[in-house]
Amino acid sequence: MPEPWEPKSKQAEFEAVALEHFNTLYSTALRLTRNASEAQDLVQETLLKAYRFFDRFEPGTNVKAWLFTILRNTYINTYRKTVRQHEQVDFDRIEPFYADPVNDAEWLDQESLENVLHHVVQDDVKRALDALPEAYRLVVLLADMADLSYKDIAAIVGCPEGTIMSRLFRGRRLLRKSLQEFARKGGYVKG
Amino acid sequence: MLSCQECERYIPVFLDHALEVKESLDVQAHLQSCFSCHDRAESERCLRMFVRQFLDVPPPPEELKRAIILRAMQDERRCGWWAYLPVPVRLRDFAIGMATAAILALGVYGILPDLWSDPDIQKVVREASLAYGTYVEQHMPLEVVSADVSAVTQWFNTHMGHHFKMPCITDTSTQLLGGRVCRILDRKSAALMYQRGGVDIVLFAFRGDHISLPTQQSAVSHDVHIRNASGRPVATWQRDGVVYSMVGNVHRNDLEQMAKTVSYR
Repeated sequence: MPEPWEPKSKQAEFEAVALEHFNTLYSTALRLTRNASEAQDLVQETLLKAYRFFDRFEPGTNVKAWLFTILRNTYINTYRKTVRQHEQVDFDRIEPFYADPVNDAEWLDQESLENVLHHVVQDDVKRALDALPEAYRLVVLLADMADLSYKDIAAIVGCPEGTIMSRLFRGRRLLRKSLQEFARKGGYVKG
Repeated sequence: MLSCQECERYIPVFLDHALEVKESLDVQAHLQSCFSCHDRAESERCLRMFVRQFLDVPPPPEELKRAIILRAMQDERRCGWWAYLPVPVRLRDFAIGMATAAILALGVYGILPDLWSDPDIQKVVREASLAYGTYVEQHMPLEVVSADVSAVTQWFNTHMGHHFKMPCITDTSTQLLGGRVCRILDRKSAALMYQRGGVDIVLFAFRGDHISLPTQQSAVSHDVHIRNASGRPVATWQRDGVVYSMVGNVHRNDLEQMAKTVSYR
């Protein structure tokens, strides 16, 4: 009984797919594990699982979202357990999704924000992102680094799209606050 | 024309290119005419670009990338003894076959609950358990906080948009905390929060149009169905066109007992 795919064509096809998405997978893995060596292992494990089931992958469906689903599950099952305990999101300290932004005094105008951003450094950005509760960090990474749609992120994370939108909103908001805080502590902006 | 407040709410979604065409055009029109909102949108866009730019790590060298991909493919192909069988049998296919046979056997002998024949109850149970996880374990604030059943019932009658008989656990060891409106199976649902011996119990109630729960034969007792989802038991039943689903990290027998004490107002 022949195999459902030709080994060579499967290998070549998979290699092309893996190469195309490698950088985004690696960047996300690096921000999740915070360690280059572990990020490489995480990507390799992701690709191994993806290759194992590649012949069952339906052409025409979203391969990027599929790869990120495997990455996320592998990270949760393998790495997060060993690195640290699951972070609890304290929703009481966070405003509702549709807080009235018009009256939000913490929202800086473009010029002030540019001033803040001008003074924060790459490490500040990394620290701000690492400080986000994990539920928020993952969706911010998937949206802003991997350019995935709400629908794809919802499928990857296993939540309704509304929840994803809410987490994104809150995650970005916390990120903004952290960056402003770094700039304030550095004395670059008043506040 | 959108108000500034509406526009502010749309901005994050607009920048994610996730708005419908009409809303997107409305936001664009508003941004063109409102300096304040335009500034805010630019500020949001600026932050995202900045974060993306700083988080963009240099990609690993091409050789390393290829080596990782190759290793992944080689590791997967590193097979065991089954690779040398004269027929192309793979371990996973063998395992899948065995698992399927086991499930079929269990199904035939009636050991498995009738999950596959009850897609509706599966969905209800899954979503109720998911909502429980979201609202309780992540400490989502309540929209109405009161131990007074009448006050909570009145609040839900105002906020649900339609009237139906509100359920109420009458078990004396269970205390009402309040509630909030949520969505189950894409329909508006009341979520009543209780506490029993320090354990949170949530009772969801929503319209049961086009939902059919299994017949009496498959129910554990009376019309209450107990299923497990995400490691916690969920009691589900239907009454006068309303579906009720109760979730809590308690023993399934306790949950069933509590379900039996529910009265309707």
